[in-house]
Amino acid sequence: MPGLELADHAPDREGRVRAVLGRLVRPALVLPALVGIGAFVGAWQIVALHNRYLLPTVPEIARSLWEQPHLYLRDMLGTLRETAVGFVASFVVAFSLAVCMAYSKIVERAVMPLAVVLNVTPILAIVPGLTVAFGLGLTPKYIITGLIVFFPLLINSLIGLRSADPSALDFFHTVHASRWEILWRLRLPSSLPFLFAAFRVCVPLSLIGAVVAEFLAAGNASGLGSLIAVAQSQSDLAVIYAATVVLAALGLLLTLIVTLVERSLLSWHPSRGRRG
Amino acid sequence: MTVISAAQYRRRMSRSVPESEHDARSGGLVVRGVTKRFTSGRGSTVALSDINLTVDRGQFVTLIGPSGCGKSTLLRILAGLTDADEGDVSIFGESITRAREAKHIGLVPQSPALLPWRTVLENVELPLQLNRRAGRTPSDNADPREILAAFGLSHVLDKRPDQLSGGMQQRVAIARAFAFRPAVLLMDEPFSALDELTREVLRHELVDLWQQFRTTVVFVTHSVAEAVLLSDVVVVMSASPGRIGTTIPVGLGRPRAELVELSDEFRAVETDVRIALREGWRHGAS
Repeated sequence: MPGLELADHAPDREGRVRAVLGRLVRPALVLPALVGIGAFVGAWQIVALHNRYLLPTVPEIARSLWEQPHLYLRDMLGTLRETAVGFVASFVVAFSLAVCMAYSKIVERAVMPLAVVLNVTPILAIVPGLTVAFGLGLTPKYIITGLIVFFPLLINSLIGLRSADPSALDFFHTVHASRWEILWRLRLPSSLPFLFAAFRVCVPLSLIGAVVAEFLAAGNASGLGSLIAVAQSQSDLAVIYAATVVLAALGLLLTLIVTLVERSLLSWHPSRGRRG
Repeated sequence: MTVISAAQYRRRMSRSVPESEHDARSGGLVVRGVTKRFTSGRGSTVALSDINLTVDRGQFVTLIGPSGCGKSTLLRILAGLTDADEGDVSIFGESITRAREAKHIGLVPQSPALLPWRTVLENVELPLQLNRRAGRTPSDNADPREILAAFGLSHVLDKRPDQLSGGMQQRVAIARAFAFRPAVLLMDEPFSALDELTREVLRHELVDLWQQFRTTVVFVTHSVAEAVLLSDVVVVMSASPGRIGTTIPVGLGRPRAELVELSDEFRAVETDVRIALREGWRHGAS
C-alpha cells in the first residue's frame, strides 16, 4: 500500500501526516466525485450567465450566503425545529400505537383503515385548512411534518415488532417471560432495523413537509421555506437558491446523524456486513 | 427413579405450587391420552391421536418418526407452546403452566434463535434475567461462564452470533437451555440444520454433557443413529394420524463406550428402530 511505503521512508512528522491523508483521501475515491461536482457547478454557471432570469450565478449565491449568514442560520434553525418536533412527536405516537396494535387485533383493525387513508391522501392538501384553524404560526407546520411521516413510522414499527424470531419467542414463552420482558428484550431490539429503515426515509420527508408547509403558510415565522416564499415575491433568485443550498446541507446533516446513530446501535445487524 | 406414594401424588396435584424444588423434580413426565387436531379450510388433520408416554426422571428419551407424525407438535405441547385438545400432561407432578412459571422447562429450538444483538455470554445469561419471580435462588442456576467452558466456548464469550458457525451457535443455544438447570430439557431436532460431520461432533458432546448433568431430556430427531446413540428409550412414532408405534429401550450402557456406534449391539438396536419405522409407514399408508 502506497501510504505504508511513504511512512517507512519518511519518519518525520510531515511525512507521516501526508501518509495518513494519502491513505484516507485516495485519488480513486475522491477524484470522480470532485469531477462530477465540478462539472455540475460549471454547467450551472454557464447556464446562469446566459439566462439571468433562469438561474443565479454561482458567485451571486455565494455572496448572498456570505453577506447574510445570520439570516440563513436563523431560518435553518427554524426549519430544523419544525422538522425535529414534528418527527419526534409523530414517532412517539406512531410507535406507541404500533405496540397497542401488535398486542391487540381489535386495535389494529380499528386503526389500520384510518392509517391507510392517511397514507394515500396528499397531506399537504390540508395546510390551507390548518391555516384557517391555527393561523400562520408554528402549529400548522408541526402538524404537517408529523402527519407526513406518521404512516411509514407506524407501519415499520408494527412490522418491526412482529418480526421477532418465532423460535426465540418460543424460548421466552417456555421460561414464562412476562409480556413486558418479551417486548423490552425481544420485540423492541428486533424492530430497530425496521425503524431505522423508516428513519432514513422519514427524516428527509419530514424536512420536505416543513418546507412546503412554510411555503403555503409563510407568515412571520422563521424558516427556509418562508424565506424562499418571500424571495419569490421579490423575484430574488439568489436568495431562493442560496436557501436551497442550505436546505441541502441540512438534509445531509440529518441523514448523517441518522446513519451514525444506526451504525452504533445496529452493529450486530447482518445488513451492516460481516466483521471478523 | 423416585417412587412416591399415591397420597403424596394426590397432595401434590391438589396444591397450586410444589412444596419445594426437590419435590417437584421427583416423579416423571406423564402424557395421558393426548390428542391434537389442526383445522384448516379443507378440514382437520389429527396431528396427535391418543398419545400415552411416561418419561422417568433423568431419562433421555427420543421421539423419532417421519414428517407429520406429530413429534414436534408433542414437544410443543410439552413445552407449553400449544395446548392439547384432549388428555393431559404433567411434569413431575405439576401442570405444564406451573412448570413454565417455575422455570422447570428448557427449550432448544430447531434454529438456534440466539439474540443477534447480544454476545454469546449475554445470550446464555438471558434465561437468568427472565422471569426472576420464579422463586429460584442463585444456586439453582449454573454459572454461564462455567457452562460455556464445558462446551468449549470460552474463547468466543464476546462474539456475536453472526460471527459464529452454525454448529457453534447451536452449542450456545444448548448452553443457554442448560444455564438455568431446568428439570426437563426439550430439544426439537437441534442438529438438523447442520452438516453431517458437525452433527456427529455435537452428538458426542451432548452425550458427554448429559452424562455430567443427567437432566431429563425429550429429544426429537429423524436420525436413527442419533436416537440410538443419545437415548435410554427410543419412541417410534408414525403419521396419519400421529401416534406412538413402538417404544424401544436402548440398553447400551452409560457412559457410552468410545466407539459404541461400531458395536454389534448398537447395530441391533438401530435395526429394531428401523423395522419399527417401516411398520409405521405401512400402517400409515393403508
